[in-house]
Amino acid sequence: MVRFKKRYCVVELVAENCVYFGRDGLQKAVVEAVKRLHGDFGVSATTPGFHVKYFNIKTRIAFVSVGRGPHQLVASALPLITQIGGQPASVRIIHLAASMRHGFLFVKDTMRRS
Amino acid sequence: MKLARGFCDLNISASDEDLKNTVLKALSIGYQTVAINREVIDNSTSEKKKRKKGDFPMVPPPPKLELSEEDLRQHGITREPVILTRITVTYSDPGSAFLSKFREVIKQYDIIAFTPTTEGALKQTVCQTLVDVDIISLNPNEQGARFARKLLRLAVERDIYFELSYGPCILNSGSRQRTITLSHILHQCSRSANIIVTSQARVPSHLRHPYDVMNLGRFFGLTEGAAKQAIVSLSHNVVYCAASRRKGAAKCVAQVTFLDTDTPKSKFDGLGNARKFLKTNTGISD
Repeated sequence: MVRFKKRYCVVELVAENCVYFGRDGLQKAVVEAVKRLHGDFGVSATTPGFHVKYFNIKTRIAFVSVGRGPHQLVASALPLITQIGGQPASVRIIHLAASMRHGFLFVKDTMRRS
Repeated sequence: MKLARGFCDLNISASDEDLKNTVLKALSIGYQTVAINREVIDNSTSEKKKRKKGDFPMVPPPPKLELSEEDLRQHGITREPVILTRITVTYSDPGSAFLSKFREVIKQYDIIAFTPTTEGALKQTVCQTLVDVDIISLNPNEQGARFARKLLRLAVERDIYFELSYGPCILNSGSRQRTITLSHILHQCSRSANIIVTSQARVPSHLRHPYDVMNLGRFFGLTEGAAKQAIVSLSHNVVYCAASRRKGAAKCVAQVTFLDTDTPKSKFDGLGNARKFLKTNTGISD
């Protein structure tokens, strides 16, 4: 059966001050970074299946879902994010999961270790 | 029955003033088959439910374009052009009476294309209840819902082709993005089968050379071979299927020809040559 496979990037937002980010802000920042790096083709290749699925401000962790092929375009553009919602911030990729559940398990393990 | 030849550009939607210039430019660039497009939008059930009967949009009769020999010689067009007429109907509600009213006029066109905006309209298009449709041109500007994979596959089985236009891509980046997203969805659902590439040119400057269009096919998720097919062999198929549908798809006539007794039997070795024999000896054309 044909299945639309996705990859979930588990990212951590790094900012100097304790600033409030929104889910929309992160989405727009990622799209802008992909557009800067990969142009119109990058944006349209990543649009189907692109969502910010989970966003936790306290732990600064977000899950970004992308389609399986174009996930490399997004993964290469994430390090180049310099600001989110107007405030300076950067994004650090912790893990690339194939399902939300495995992503959550990984986050739980790292949280327990640290 | 007009058959397509050479490179095809099956969507030139120029206004009446620029039409001749656009067609001449297309022919001089390298396209040999050109289809002039008329767009009709069916708004009858969009805004209010109660509307007067006279508010249906008019469907104009097919446009006729005459190109004299001097025009062709001036632009350096040596090969004989094939000019077809095409109508594109934007269509949202399967319950509207638009199609049954204008069926006769629509049938005068060579190629019929539909732009369904809802899933119900797409279903009716594919199942071919009222009008036989040749091309489904999905408009990137109207953000419809995702189209069901089964319907797209059914359309591929029934020889209905999908059209991707590169004209809007040249204009602004928004439509570029939406067209490429559309082509990716088509690639996912139906492995890019039955896709043709057209220009939707409104002005002569929107046209591009056939080989440039083949390179642009890379953006639309087509391989090099598939991109060439999109303007050559698949477009020929579209015209051929359209002509067959106009004639009557499921009708078949058997013809019995008495052969001369003088012809030696060795001529008929292998039935594969029967068609060629009939064409040359009895002077019957399609």
